[in-house]
Amino acid sequence: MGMFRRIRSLGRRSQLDREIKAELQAHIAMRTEHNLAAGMSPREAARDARVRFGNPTATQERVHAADAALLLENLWLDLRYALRQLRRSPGFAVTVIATLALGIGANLAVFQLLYGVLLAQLPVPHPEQLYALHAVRSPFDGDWSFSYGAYQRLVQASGGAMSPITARSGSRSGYLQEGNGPPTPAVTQMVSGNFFSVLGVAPYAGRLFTVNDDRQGQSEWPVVLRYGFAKEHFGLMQATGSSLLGRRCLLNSVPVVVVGVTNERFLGVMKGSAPDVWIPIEAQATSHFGTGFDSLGPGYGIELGRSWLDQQGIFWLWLTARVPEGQGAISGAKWMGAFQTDIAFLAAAAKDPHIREQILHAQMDLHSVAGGEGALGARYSKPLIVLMTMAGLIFLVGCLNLANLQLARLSGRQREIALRISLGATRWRVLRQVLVEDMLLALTGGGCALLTGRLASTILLHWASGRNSTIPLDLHIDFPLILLGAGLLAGSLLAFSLLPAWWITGRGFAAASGSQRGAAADMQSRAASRWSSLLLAGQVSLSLALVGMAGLFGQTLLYIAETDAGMDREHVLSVHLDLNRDGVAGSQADFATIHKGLLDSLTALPDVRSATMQSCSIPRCGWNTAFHVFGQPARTEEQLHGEENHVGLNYFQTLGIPLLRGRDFASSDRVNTTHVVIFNEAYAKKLFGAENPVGRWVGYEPPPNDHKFLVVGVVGNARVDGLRVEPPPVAYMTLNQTSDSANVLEVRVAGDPGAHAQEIRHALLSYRPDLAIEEIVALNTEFSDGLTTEKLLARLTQIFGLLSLALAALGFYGLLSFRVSRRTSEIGIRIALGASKAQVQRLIFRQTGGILLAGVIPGILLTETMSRAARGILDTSAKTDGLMLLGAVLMLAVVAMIATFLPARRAAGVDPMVSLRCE
Amino acid sequence: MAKNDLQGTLDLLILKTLAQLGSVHGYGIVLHIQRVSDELLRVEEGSLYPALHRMEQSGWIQSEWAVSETNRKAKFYRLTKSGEAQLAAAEKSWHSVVKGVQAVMRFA
Repeated sequence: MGMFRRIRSLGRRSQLDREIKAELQAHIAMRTEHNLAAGMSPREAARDARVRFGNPTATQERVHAADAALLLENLWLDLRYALRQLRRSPGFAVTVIATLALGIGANLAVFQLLYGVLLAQLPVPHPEQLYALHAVRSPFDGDWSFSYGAYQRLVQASGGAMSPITARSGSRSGYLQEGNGPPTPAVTQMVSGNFFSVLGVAPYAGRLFTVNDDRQGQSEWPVVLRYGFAKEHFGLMQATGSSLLGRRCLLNSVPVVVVGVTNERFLGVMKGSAPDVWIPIEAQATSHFGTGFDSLGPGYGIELGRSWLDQQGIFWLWLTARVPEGQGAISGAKWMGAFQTDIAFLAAAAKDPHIREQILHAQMDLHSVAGGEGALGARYSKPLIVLMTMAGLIFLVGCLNLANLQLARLSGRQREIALRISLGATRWRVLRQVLVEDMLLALTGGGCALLTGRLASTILLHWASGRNSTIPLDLHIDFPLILLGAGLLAGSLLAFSLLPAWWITGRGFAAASGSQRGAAADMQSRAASRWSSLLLAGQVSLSLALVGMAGLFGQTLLYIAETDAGMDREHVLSVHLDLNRDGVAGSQADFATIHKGLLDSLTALPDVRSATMQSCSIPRCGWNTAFHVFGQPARTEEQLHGEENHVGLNYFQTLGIPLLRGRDFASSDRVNTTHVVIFNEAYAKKLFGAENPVGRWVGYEPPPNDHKFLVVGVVGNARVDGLRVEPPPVAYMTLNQTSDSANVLEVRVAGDPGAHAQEIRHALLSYRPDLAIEEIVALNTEFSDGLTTEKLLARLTQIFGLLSLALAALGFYGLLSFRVSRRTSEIGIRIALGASKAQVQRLIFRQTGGILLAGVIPGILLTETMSRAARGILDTSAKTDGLMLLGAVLMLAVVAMIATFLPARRAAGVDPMVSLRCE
Repeated sequence: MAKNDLQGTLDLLILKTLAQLGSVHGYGIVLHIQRVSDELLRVEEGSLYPALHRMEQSGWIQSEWAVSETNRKAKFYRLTKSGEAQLAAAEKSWHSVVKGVQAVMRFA
């Protein structure tokens, strides 16, 4: 009943107001009459009545307070008042909203990335049931890959068609072509028929693979497209309609038919890489789909050109299984039984007895892949954590800034607040009004933060991705993100709204209702002033830390980018071809002719100094190998492990790698002459120690097969694995003697490599118009591609550093302007007493100096601590030297001084006549 | 007496006054309580009207504007049905409080 009455009285506030007022007036009037009747004089009667009644306004307010329904009306009034106040000080409003948007937005962006890379699980039901199968490491690369035969045996042992084990190959870029249209690059992955059903991926359109698709020798292969790829290349409308389904295309020249499209969020199981097209693994037999693989090596009858489906010695499938809770160990043991034949096979093939033992005792381990597989998390986890910390610091700096602004603003409204309290407002009432104003700002700021965060995380991902393509990541707005945003917003409200307001409206405030200027001498504002200085000093420390970190990461980037790579990377261009694409080359002899033709067409160009070929690309080769030395006692694989590259003539001159001993490859090295090898210094040291390796014999296998290759030279070390790691041991062989197709040309030019790209492309295409050129890029750019994390860190910390400087400048400007305005009368007196403008300005600058000093010392300590922690986490060798710290301090000081300039000028311009007259 | 202590008791006094006088305005309530208690109880006039408003919102009393004996327009209050029930309950709890306090006092 009461509720209805309360709701009814909503909206009738003014009428209620009038009624209450009338009632109270009537009461006073009646008592006055009473007093008159009792014999008092009219004036006394009236006075007595009023005194007895007390403060009618206060009573009116209390009646209102007793009315619960009016609470809502009060809120509405507060809202309108808040809007008016904010419109009057737009600078304050804009600053608060901008600070919140940037501070919270930065955190949201980094967190979204962090979540996507580290914490997010695969967008399938029950990802915690997914496990990768780890049994035996592959011989050379050490991967947990399986052969097709092994996979089949495991499937049989785990339920056949109902098996929870799925297989997938690596991804490789290919070409999708429709009719006579242009070929579209499409990253292709081969998967088993139960891949999608075991994972639990739902289709967006059409159907996904079933076990029936696991058939060999199909004339037309079913393929499934990724949603993003389908949308990008076929248009969204077509992807929804059935016009995309049943479409026939050529994938790497193999006839395929599109049977379905996956849902929007599924990006494959490797975090950070998303295949565009999926095809059944049996399609490997067509030999048109390449993938990463490992094998037993030469001597086991392995033919890469033949179907891999019946070759036991090629390991190219990764297995994932869905195992319900608690059944991990049991399943592993059961499946190991089916794996025994493979174990025997692998053990027999192992040359190192140590490794043979390991294989014979191998267990099937299950590793959870709920978060997806791949090394993206490992690569970015630490940088992201560092970035998250810094984003948190920016947020803190922002909060400090806002708290200071709020203190200043409320101090300016002291008079108004005191008046309200003396008129009968409760402290809660005043607080509520301030809160409403701040919540308005906070909500607007929060909204902007969400937008900023979204934009920023897209940009961040773009920066983290490097040159060619954006890392496909599921940037989904999830519950944790919203929680973080809300938490940050609440925290900032507490810091910059509740605490200062609580503090200001408390403690005998009504006493301070004297003049605004006179209040400057008041105890409370002295305390407020101390707090403001402290807050600003805190801001200085944090800003210094952020700027210092920016310096650290900038320096790290420079340091790494300028590392000596052991080769001349300033003048070399890499050309990436795809000679394996059908129609370009057939036999080995073809390759040799093409190689020669291409190189000749290049060296004919005026600016080309020399050109060569290699099978590997720098800096991402990863061709692992091991060599046994003739005449040496047996050693473990580990001790003989190195990398291999098959190169053309003039390789070392083209790249600028020095020849240290012996001779280079020559045209006299042919297939029917002695097979030769050149080691780099690191490998020579590893295999031969201090002895001269030239003239010695090595081989791929232990004795008696270690007498195959003659070492003819030693070259300098080069960072072929990227700038971050030490130069690896490398063995070079000549393409004239090995049966390899080299797909990478290296061209040394005079002058800027980038400027010659067009010329080179033209020359190559005029030699062979149907040549598939994937990319022409300067070697330096390829190196710098490997530095994406360093670049990301450097860029972001620079942005954060600049932001914090801007906030610090704002803080100084705001605080000192405010102080100047409150001390105007004091300054007027000083000027009247003879102080010069310069002296007054010095007074203001001294304040800034004091705050700077107070903030710089803890700031330096904080910077040192943070940089030490960052170095520990990120494993970099650059450190914050004193010079850089000094630079950061100077930058901060300059910014602060510039920010103080305007208020100081204003102070010096105070006219004592004006300031002393107003009170 | 502190404001909070008196609030419950003030409600009781107001309800009882209304029960006894039927229809009365705020000033009348103050006078009545003062007179009947022989000047022992003086109602804090600043708390009277908030209390009246609160009780009206809870539905225990209802109000209407009328003309007083001195020809002045004033707001008159009277008890409602639920007000009567509330009065009975308040009276009962008051008696138990008094009994309890007296027992403690007598214990010495």
